[in-house]
Amino acid sequence: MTAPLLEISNLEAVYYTPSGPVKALRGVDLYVKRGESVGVAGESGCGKSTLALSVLDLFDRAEGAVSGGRISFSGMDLSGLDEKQMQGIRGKRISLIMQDPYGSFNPVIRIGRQMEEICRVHGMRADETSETCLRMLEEVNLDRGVREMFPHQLSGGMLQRASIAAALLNSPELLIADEPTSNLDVTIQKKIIDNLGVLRKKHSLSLVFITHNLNLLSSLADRIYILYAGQVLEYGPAEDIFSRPAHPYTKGLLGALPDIKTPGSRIRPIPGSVPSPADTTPGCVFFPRCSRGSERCGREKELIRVSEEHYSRCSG
Amino acid sequence: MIGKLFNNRMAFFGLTVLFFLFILSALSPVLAPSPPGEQNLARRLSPPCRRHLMGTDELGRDVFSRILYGGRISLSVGFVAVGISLLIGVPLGLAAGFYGGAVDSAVMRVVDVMLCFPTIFLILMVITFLEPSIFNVMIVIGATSWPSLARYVRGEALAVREREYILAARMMGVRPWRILAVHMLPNVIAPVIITATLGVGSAVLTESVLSFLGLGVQPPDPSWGSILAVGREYMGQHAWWLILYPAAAILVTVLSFNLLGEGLRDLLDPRLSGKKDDRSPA
Amino acid sequence: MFFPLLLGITLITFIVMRLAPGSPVDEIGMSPGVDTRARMRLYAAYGLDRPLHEQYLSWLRRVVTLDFGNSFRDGRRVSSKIFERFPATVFLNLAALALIFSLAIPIGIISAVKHDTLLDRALTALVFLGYSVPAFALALVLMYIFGVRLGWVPVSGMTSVEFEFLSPLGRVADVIRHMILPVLTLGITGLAFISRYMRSTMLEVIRADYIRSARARGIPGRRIILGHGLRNALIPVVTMVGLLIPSLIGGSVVFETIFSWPGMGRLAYSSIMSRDYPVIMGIGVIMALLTLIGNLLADIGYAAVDPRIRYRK
Ligand SMILES: Nc1ncnc2c1ncn2[C@@H]1O[C@H](COP(=O)(O)OP(=O)(O)OP(=O)(O)O)[C@@H](O)[C@H]1O
Ligand SMILES: [Mg+2]
Repeated sequence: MTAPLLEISNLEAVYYTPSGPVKALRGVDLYVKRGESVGVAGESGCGKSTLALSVLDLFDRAEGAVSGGRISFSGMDLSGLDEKQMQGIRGKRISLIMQDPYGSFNPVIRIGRQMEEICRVHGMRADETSETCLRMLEEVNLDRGVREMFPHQLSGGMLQRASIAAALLNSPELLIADEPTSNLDVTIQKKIIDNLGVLRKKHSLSLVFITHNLNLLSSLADRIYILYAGQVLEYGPAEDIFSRPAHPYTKGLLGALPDIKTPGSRIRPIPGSVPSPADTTPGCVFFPRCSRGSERCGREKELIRVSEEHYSRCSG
Repeated sequence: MIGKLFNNRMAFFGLTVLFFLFILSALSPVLAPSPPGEQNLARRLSPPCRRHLMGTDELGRDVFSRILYGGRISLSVGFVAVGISLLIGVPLGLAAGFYGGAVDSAVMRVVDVMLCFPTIFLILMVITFLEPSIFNVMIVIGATSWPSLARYVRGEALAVREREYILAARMMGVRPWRILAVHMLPNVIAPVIITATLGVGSAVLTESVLSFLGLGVQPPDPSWGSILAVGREYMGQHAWWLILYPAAAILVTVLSFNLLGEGLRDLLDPRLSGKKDDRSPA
Repeated sequence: MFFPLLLGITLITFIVMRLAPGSPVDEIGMSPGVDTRARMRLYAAYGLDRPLHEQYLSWLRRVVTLDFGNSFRDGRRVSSKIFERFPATVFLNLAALALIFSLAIPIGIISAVKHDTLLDRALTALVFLGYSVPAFALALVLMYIFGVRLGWVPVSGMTSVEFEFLSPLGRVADVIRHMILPVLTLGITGLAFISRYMRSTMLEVIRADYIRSARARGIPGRRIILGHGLRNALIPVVTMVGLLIPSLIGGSVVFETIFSWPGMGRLAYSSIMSRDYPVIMGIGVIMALLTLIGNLLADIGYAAVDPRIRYRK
């Protein structure tokens, strides 16, 4: 077996708050094989965006930092790189699409110029940049006129397409998409996800797709990680996660999804909410909300093997 | 709250210095080596020495004593002026924010014009025409420094107005002045305290400018600004102590009020920290 | 915007001027003992005997035709009195503005980029000190040190006595030497106004999502700050010019008196002292105009950097 393209082990990240640092990631392990599409799912506040920021080390100095663990990309230890080398990776070999499309472009610079700048800083020849930008806009089904526009002249959906185009300009190996569609309405959501699926095949991209909506992953992901309170609670092949979830939280998430096939079935949300990263109660992080907890859940739990490639911190 | 005040280094430093300034001014009759008006023409323009810590002025008066007494006057001018500006600015701001509509636009129109107006120009006019005195200085500074205060208060009152409990109170027919006094006033206290603290500093500064120009505190009463005016006159004779010490006194006072004000801003109203303020430097 | 402002400023000026006891006639050397008939004649000659609102309206009517009247002091036209002083004031203040912006913007940027480091703290403290320094007292301290003690620069006026005999280049150098102290004083004390604001807007910008997006695309830090951040941070800062103008003009009144600078500020001061009503009113109009121009320039600048404004019809 060849080494995975991205391998994250025991990753920890903190945010600095007025009342001291809080751990938003508490030892995350995750890998992405070349050409694979990995889904990361979890409720709001469980640390999904933090995970994405950690990979590219995008924290503001005073905001937070990666505080432990290892991230290796294509055999290279990312934490060993300096800022300059990291710049060479960002947008060139690993691209990130941010959660909020309105924050993905500078409001006072034309889209075209921002896209060309991405090409230029990564060393593309000047005579190719404009051509490349046009081609990418076409691939995300945007009109070439978008180049001359300012961000405020585009709708959210168009902006998100434009940021996908911007992310793929330098043919990266890995694309991390942080809830690219959660701020858009459902029809546009579907179109963009289909588009991503096509682009992924065409550019032989590896993909990390982050979402709070497990449902979206059914058509998109090869494997799925369930994230909760800064920990991976369960991971495995998409099929297994959907058909044989092991962790009560995953089951809860699936129960919280509207079932399209049986009309009339009610959404059953999980009671309670994600604990704050400042909460450092020992033991299973899901225990306070779990319907079948017992006192053994007071202890820290390891990921245990459920089946081939399928691991869970709890067997339910 | 008090504890936090001590934790904020800026506020703490400002407060400590101000505390000493108050003590010094309060005790000036005891601390001053001589009465501020006592002349000694034999020792005029003497540089700092053991007998005259900060030298003497053109009439041989002890500068240290005059600075101590001057501080008393400056601080009282500062506080009274800010008091007046509070008395005008807070009710106007509250009314504008609470009633909205015509009241609001009338008040804000005046505020806008006043803020575009170089205040010192207005102050100079009034003072010259009314003839200079400490009393007039207090009134004029107070009467010209309320607009920025009114604007803050109005903004805050506007925000408060839409809150549920205010809406509920209005619907239940609670009388307007009661809503203003009981519900809105407490919410505007923070910005008011901050603006007022900064305002005392700038009132002290304005007073010293006026006294420097001969339009503020009148002789024989001592004032930092008028010592500076003498210093300017005798600059050619190298009477540096007539410039340095009053300048330092003004700086320390204004700086302390600014530090305290900014510190309070961090404590009371994090939203405002680092934001611009529209006091015009005099 | 202009007319309300003009009306507001001149009305306030007018009211304050006229409600105050005393009159310019006293200042012209008429002692109180002089018989009332002579005094009334003088009043009538200046139009001071008519009702106040009539006086104001007739003044306003003449201003519309650019006629500001004549000075009470020397009978010269107000407009020519003001315009011979105008360039000196504008020149000095533009130089001060240039100094302020060229220092404040880099300081603000550095402070924001290095926020919460020792460098930021030191800069912030220095700027805060400058902000609290009483400008007129600083002027005197600088005058004493650099002018009297060290004799490096002249302390007053705009030109030396031998100005007439200097070569054109020498004249320029002479004026510049005279400008050093006033510009430095205005700069040091006005700096904080802009740099503190620059720091906070830049800090806000740095934390904006689009900056993180730019970082995520591998755009180098310096390029992000100067190419992406600066434009956005400057947008609110340019509007400060509008706010700065009244305080600069107000400052002129004091500074020009201290430095004997032959500008409008000193004219304002001496006209107030002698109750030269037409000149005071004329200066009020000029102040309104300058404030308006400042705001206009700020709006234009705003539109130049922010497409969201430019495209709004
Ligand atoms: N800048 C910050 N400072 C302090 N705490 C933060 C910061 N950003 C995020 N957090 C905290 O870290 C935790 C994880 O946040 P994160 O943004 O990664 O969640 P998320 O899974 O992306 O949520 P969402 O679905 O809402 O985007 C949350 O509890 C959040 O409150
Ligand atoms: Mg997120």
